[in-house]
Amino acid sequence: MQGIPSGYLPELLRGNTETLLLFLVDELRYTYGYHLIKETEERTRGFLQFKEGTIYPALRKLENDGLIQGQWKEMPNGQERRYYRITEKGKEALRKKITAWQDFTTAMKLIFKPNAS
Amino acid sequence: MLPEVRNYLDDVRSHLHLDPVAEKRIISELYAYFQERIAELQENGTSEREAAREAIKSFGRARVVARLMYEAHSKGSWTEAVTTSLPHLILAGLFASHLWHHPILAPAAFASIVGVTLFGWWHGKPNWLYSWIGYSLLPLLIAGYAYRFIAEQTVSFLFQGYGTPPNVLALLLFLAFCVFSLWIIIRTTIRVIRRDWILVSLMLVPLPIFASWLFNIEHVGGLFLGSGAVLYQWDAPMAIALGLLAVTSAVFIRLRQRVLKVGALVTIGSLSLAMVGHNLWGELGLLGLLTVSLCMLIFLLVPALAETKIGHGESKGEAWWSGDWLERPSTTR
Repeated sequence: MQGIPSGYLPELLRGNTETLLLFLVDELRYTYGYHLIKETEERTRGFLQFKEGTIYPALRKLENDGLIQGQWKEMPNGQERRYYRITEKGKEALRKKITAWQDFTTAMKLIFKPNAS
Repeated sequence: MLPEVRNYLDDVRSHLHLDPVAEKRIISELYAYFQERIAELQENGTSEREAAREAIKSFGRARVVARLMYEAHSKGSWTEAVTTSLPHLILAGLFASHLWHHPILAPAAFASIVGVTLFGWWHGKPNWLYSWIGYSLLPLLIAGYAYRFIAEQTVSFLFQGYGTPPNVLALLLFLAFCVFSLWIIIRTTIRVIRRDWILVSLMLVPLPIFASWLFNIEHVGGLFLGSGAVLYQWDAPMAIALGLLAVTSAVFIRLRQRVLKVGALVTIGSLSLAMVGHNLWGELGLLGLLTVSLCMLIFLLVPALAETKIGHGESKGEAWWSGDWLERPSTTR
């Protein structure tokens, strides 16, 4: 991603993995782990790269918390995938998380704004 | 399944410490990921074995993945937390009201605990079950201890030449009971160790407290023969110790991190035994309290050593990678 320094804070991504995944599951409607990894990379042009091993535990946590629901599906080529869709509880949680994130970024922007005086 | 992937998934599985259903789901999903990732790398010209190695490398260390998976699954609900603390509270209630000696209430309490344990055992062995298992094994130990006089009588008569001859039928029944009890206790403990040694510690944590109490009760007439207020003199510390264990087991269920679960169990378990010991055996002093705490610490950590010998999984050497073990679209939602 142009203009974004490569040394972003991994902690920032770690702290927001679940929100990001929840958003993508909601937007993609019916998706699976590997697709989420590829989608994140594509959308951020490689800026955000999830370690594969962290995506699946995050999906399991979201599913255990009842925010997404998983289902096995067999593909025409015989391959099997566990697909996820967001639940009503997940949609509600996502709305709150997005609001909190927007409030936070607004506050951050206000702090980082050059002092007018 | 490629040996690299199989070894990696085996490594993840051996560190998961979750119930078999959750383990199956996790491993099946990771296996599906590796299949897809390896196929994609192969399309780009990488050999199958090289693709497997690359996919594994980018996935991260097996232990780290297993720890994250454990933390995603390990936090129980408030209902589970309350359910796991119930057997401690039932027994604490019996001690607090001096009713542990009651001919109907005490057996009814233990019968209920055994009933709930059997229900949980046959319904997926949920995390709240393990504190119930500990109390279900307790009547076997108490009965064995209470009727040990049959063995003592036999030893006195045969090897020391005094006393009355033993009742052969009673002796045979006692021996059969001991063998049966040991079989149940050892088999249950091994099954739980294969799931997770921490759960064995959670299961067995009340036993040293009850053993200490039982030894003292013997000095004032015994569990069945003693009577009067002297029998109830240790009820208050027992009720407090079991209340502490109830809180500990609830906290244990709600915590995500494994190290915190062990810490909570060992700390409060040791404190409870030290408190009971202090009341049972009089002033122990700092050294005595430290010794009692150390004994509890060792008792609670021995299952960790046993796990290294016994291994992990429903049965040792299970060929879970055969393919039939994995979760399938046709077999589950």
